[in-house]
Amino acid sequence: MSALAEPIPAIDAGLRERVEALEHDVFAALKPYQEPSTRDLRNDPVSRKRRVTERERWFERVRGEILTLARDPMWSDHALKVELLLTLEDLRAEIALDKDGRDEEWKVRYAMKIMHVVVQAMVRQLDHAAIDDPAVAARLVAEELRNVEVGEVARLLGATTKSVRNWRDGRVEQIKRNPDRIVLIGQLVYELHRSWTGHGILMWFDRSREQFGERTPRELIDADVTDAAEKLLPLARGGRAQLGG
Amino acid sequence: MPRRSCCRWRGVDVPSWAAEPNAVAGRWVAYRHVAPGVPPLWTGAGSTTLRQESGRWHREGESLVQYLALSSDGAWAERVRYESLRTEADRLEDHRSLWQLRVCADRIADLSTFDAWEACGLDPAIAVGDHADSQALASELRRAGYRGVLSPSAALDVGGAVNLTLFGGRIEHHIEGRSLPDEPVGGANAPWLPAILLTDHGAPTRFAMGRTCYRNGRHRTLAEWRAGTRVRRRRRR
Repeated sequence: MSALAEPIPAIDAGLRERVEALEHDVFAALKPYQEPSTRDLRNDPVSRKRRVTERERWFERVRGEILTLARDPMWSDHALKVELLLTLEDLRAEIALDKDGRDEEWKVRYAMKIMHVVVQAMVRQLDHAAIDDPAVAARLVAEELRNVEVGEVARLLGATTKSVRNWRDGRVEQIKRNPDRIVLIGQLVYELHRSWTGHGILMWFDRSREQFGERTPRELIDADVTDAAEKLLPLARGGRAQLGG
Repeated sequence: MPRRSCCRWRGVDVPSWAAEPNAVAGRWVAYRHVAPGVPPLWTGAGSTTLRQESGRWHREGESLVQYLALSSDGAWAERVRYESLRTEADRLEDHRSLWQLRVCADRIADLSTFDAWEACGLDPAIAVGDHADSQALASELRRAGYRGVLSPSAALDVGGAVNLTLFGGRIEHHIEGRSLPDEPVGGANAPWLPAILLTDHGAPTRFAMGRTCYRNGRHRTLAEWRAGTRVRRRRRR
């Protein structure tokens, strides 16, 4: 799944759809995991053939999707493409070793999980690339902070209230004012939106931080957008999962 | 065990252990918070997907690490400390998934008490202080073949609050409708950890927020341990 409920328009929306379709296919194969039933095991010669055939079909479909993606110019020199092709080979090797399709040691499943991680990274990569466009970033922030008073959002972005109203209505013109600030805030909101409400995100920007000499993220952004990006993007990314404090 | 040489990282000398930490094997129930929709454990295929931000026991790009707490309040306190949550409004605007996991592992360095740190010739302040020292110690532990470390919680400032950190990638085996199995698929040290999603919309508890030691704060449990150690030493004299 994408990190956002509403897909971010990528440079090539079709590419994003293909990556998401692949992500869905791999995720569906991982969950829910069904142990073979007693009946399956009792009729093993039949169920074995069915399991092996179904998995072969699944693998061929996923292989086709991966090769199509790998040929897309977007990933031409990208390390994720190499990783994806390597995971495809790892998966093929594990499937070949698992003759009866039961995967008792979960090695096929392990290879699928690694593939899923790589595909999720590709989705994130597409999202980040899209948000590098200030118009996309503005729309994302306006949408995620839709319950926040328009003036507050405008002050955060360094935009006018009229612009924010337009962005909320989906009317995003070319952005000439503070594009770097809007892109940075868009990237931060992308990292924060899973955990925080719109108000919570606004509070995140105004909470003082010990590691920055008690300055707030907003103060850092006001002072220097480039320097703030170096400090705040790792902070927001690190908030995705528990770190030893 | 003779004192090992000091390691050097970014110009900071980090004293290594005088005695090796006890390597323990065990089965633990552990807790971990993540953003909703984010997998509970870190795994990766290669350098591009191996981007886990630096934490107490690893530097970004060096390796993957699973940060776990042995109590749910321990996990919540980590969140409170990381995000510097100070008010009820801060706390209640935060929505996290909390996972419960079964860990079976061996060769875990037992530095779960400040006494254990002292017994190994290590400064207990490293357990709760600046990350550079603990990151260097983690590198040494990995080189010595430990698979993880038990350590006092820097965030949950309560006596006996312990974190379990596992070195390397792990994968969740998501369990639904059942309790945690005693054994993971593949046995001890396997990459799969049984995991139950306790909530996908939770906020840190009030208790955890009230007992969190913030980054620049004084760690009361360590201070009390130091005071107790001084008293014990005086009595021995």
